Amino acid sequence: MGGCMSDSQDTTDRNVEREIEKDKKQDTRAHKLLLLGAGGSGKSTFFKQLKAIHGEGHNDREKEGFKRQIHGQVVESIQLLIRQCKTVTKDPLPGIKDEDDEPFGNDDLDDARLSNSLKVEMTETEIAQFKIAKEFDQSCQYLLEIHGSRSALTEQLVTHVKSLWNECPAIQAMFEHRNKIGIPDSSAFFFNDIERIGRSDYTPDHKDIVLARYRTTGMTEKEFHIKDAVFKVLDVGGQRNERKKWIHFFDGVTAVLFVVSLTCYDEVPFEDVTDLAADVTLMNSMLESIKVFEDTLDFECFQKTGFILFFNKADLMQEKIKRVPITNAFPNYKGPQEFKPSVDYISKYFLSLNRVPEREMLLRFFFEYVLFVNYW
Amino acid sequence: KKKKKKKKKKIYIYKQELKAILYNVLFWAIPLVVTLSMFDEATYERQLSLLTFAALLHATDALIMLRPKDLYYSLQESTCCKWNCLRVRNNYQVEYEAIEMYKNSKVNPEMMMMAVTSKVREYSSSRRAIELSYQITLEKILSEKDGFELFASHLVKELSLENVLFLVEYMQLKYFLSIHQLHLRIQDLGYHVPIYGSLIQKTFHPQLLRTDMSANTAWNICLDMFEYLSTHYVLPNAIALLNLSHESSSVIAMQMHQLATNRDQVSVEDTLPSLLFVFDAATKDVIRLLRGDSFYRFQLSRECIRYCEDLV
Repeated sequence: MGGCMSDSQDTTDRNVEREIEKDKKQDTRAHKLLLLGAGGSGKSTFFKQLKAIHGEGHNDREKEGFKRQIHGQVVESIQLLIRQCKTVTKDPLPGIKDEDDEPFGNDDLDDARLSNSLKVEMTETEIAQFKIAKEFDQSCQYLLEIHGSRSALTEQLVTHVKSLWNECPAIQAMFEHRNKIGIPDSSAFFFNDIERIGRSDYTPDHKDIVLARYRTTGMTEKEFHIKDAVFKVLDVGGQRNERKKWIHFFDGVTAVLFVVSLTCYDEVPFEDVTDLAADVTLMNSMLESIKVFEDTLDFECFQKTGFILFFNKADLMQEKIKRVPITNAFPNYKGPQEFKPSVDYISKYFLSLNRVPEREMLLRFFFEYVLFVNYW
Repeated sequence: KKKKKKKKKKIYIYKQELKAILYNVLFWAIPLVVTLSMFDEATYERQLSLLTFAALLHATDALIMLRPKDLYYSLQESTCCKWNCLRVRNNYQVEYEAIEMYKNSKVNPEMMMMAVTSKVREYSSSRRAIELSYQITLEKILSEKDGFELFASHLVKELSLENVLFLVEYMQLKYFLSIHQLHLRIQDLGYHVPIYGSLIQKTFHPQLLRTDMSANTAWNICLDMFEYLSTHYVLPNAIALLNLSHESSSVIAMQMHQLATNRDQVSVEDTLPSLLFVFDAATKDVIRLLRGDSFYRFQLSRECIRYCEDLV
């Protein structure tokens, strides 16, 4: 009887072993690609693109998820804009009891502000432009109070958002400073299209899906079959806490796709967003990106791994370079304030961080949703 | 023999049809009788109503006899599905397949019809499960044991369990407050995330739940818990750091700093509301992140659909 038992055990053992063997084979056949980069650089966006082009696309149920993300983004962005306007003008937030914090809260904050030499002082007139007029009080209150279980856009919400966005100069003025308060560029697109998005039968199209921005937590993986090759792409979150998890995926990586947002040289990282007084020359996502890139290059297990650098949002960069020089992040840059030399400098800078000469490094550029392989 | 079977099957459907027609006649009889009693014999309104109702009656009868099969499927299904026409087609398909399958086997027709309808029902239930997984909310999943466990295991796979752990531990803290009636001394406990009860309660040490604990000790334990939460989840070097915005994490850090410097002097009435306020903000942040990101992937996963099948 004992023999019988062990026999059956043996067969299950063997089966399990066979399965493990099979999995291993499949794993070695698949190329594991890791999408890395600082927060908000566009990893998930790249992932979405891959899925649309090389995967099976997005089905209705996934679109429903993106719809929810877009709605979430709209609500979050407008709330952030209102809150920032109120804090700058020191207008009490309606409906939310702040008194609880007052006893020690505010004094401390003021002290911190005074002692902090990083902060830029603002004049009265500058502050005045962020004052939300009385007529919008109702809208503000309504919008600040929602954190509903389903962040679907109701008709009322749409009208409130629309009136604030189109008629309130303070909100517009605040949006101009979106780089400092962590509001994604694509929010403007969604605000402008709020009526279309708010319709009950709205389904996001390809452009909407690509433009949707939502923080990622944890990781997702997906396999892509391109011609005969199998690629397993891992998408991860890029915020500081998410980066601690990266080390768990580093085993057996074929190549690292490192995504850098070209426009982030004047954007404050998500974890540091405070208010308008932030100084972008001292902390911005580009510096953060560089640090993350250096740290990633230094990992023992990546010494022989190929890196593909993706420079994202090049189309937005072309616009931004006219207003803001890249010296925010690269104080040694002496060239003209133009697109091509600036991007050239940035890409050279990133390449120079690589201290292992035999490591393969590739550069790619992204314009909106077209990939330029050999841009130069 | 086969002919007989076909005949029987037809009879089954005719029966349903007959029923529908009967209901139809009864239905239209009501307005007819009402209008007939309302108008005098020689008025043209009477003629008109007679004509219209008779016409409507026949039209509906014709519709029933033309047999759009959808009439025979339960109403409940047809309201919850966006792609109604597709569903009808699929229902036909499933039914046809089932009939084909049973055609050759020698079962009596009634059994066959039962099998066919059960098959159809099975198909529509899996469809309903998918629909349900689509509509299910994060709160509902968290508030039920099986759902919670499935979602947690999904988060383990995605390496973002810390979000749910934080929610559970914070809700435990609130439970602790309510057990020791500290919440009576402030206005309210703030934001509540529904997590299924036994998880919150059973993991407590029995000593902590003793109601004869002095209010002071309870308050001290509560402060310890807040400190634990912040060092474990929020402060920069935390083990299970959450993905929080600066807005939420900085106020927590500030409050905890305040607390550390004058811990002996703080009172429940002054400090607890502000502590709850800042942690509530963080909780909302976490919920928002989960709902928009992890939860939507969970909804698409096979586990969730299977879970919803059980619910159906």
